[in-house]
Amino acid sequence: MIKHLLKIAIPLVTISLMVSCSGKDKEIVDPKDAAVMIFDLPADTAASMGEGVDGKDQRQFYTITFSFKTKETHVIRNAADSAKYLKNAEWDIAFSKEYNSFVVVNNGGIAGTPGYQGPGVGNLVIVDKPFDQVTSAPADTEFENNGLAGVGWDNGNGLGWFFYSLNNHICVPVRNRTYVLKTATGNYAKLELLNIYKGNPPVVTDLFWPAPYLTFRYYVQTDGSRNLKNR
Amino acid sequence: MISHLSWRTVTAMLFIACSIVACSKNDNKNEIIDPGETSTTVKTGIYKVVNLVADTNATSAGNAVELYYNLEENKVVPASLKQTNKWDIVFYGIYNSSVYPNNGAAVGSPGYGGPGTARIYVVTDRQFDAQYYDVTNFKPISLPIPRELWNTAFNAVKTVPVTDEKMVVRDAGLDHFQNNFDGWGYYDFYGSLFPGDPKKTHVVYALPRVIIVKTVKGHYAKVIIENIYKDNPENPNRDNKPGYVTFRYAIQMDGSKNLDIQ
Repeated sequence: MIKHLLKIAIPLVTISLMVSCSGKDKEIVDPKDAAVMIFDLPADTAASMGEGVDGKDQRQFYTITFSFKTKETHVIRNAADSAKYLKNAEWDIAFSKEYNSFVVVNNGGIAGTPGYQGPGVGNLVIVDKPFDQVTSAPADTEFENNGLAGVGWDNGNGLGWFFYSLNNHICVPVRNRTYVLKTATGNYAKLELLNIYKGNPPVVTDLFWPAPYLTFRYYVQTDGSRNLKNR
Repeated sequence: MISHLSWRTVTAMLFIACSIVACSKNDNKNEIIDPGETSTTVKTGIYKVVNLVADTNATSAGNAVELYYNLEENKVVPASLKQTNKWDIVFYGIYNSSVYPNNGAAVGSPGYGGPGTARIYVVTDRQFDAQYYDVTNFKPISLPIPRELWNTAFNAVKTVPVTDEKMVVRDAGLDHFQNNFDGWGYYDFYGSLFPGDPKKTHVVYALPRVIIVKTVKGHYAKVIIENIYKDNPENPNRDNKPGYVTFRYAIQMDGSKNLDIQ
């Protein structure tokens, strides 16, 4: 009996080891859920807004691109990186500006965004519903009239993904808000932006909590339809 | 000894807090206009509002006390009337930098859910902008921006360039700051235009851009903000006092969209 248990126990240990190893790519997929969860994607953790933050340079944050399909990221440090990684449809969203908190789509037509003058056709609309309840992409007219290049600070106008009080400089994600996207190549997708702080803590009170480490969840409909059911 | 010291600190802090409260009370007293007073509607023309006291205690540390304005009567309206149709625009949020129309559909604004139907539209002309502004990266080329550009921009708007549906109910605010909207002012969060100068971080620079307003009564106006710092400094820094809005507007009272007003 004990032997049997051991036989089972060994593969179990191996499996748990594999799980912890794969935790390295910060990705866990719930089998009932076709959505992809990315935990703690490190963005530009070496930059800082203020002076004298240990181990950080006070400079503008490098933009980080992310591909929904390959989960590949690129850091854009300079003009050479821009030329190499931005003007293509191989990334879908980028984390830009202050604390990499402005999440922007890949669209060649929007000046001032990383995909400008590239082939991307990305777009984004805000739907104030929980992620799982968003089951189809809105009509084209919704994208045309209310499409945004990206989402960042919600200053009260409802058009961002986090609240940010300049009293405590802490970023609080807006709950039950989903971003329906057109990917760089025009597929429909939905995105939930969960956190900018390491470990996806439910509440942060410490201004120096490690950041930016992005936790987000997304689902891409690859058949070209508007169906966004992930469960 | 330690507790004695802390007590003194607490007392000092309380004292400071009280004096701030006292100051802001006085300021409010000056601003309050009796809602029952006879209202006088302005004539078609150009009006300039100088050092309008918004929230002079404002810092970059939070939302300022909002300031409601009635363009048809050229006056400040008390916050108690925010859910009425007695104001057209509000200077809201950090440094009073978000200009919202009084529109019941404007989510997140003080007029939300009220009877207001005002709308706004930021006029942008990239050819004109190129004189002072990097139209790809959305920031001023150099500061200060020449003053005469405000006159040029203001005079160049001779009509309402869009239909009412294209006018928006959200705010006109800080230009491309965490959004992709053209705004009336540039917020240099990092002080990146003046590297190494700590007095230049978190400064808001007005841009020579016209905001078209459709008032709650349906008249059209053009508004241009010159500054949010006291005495309209050309090149403000952290030593300048925010919360003193200087702006100019022209309003057309005949119901037309003619904004070529002298």
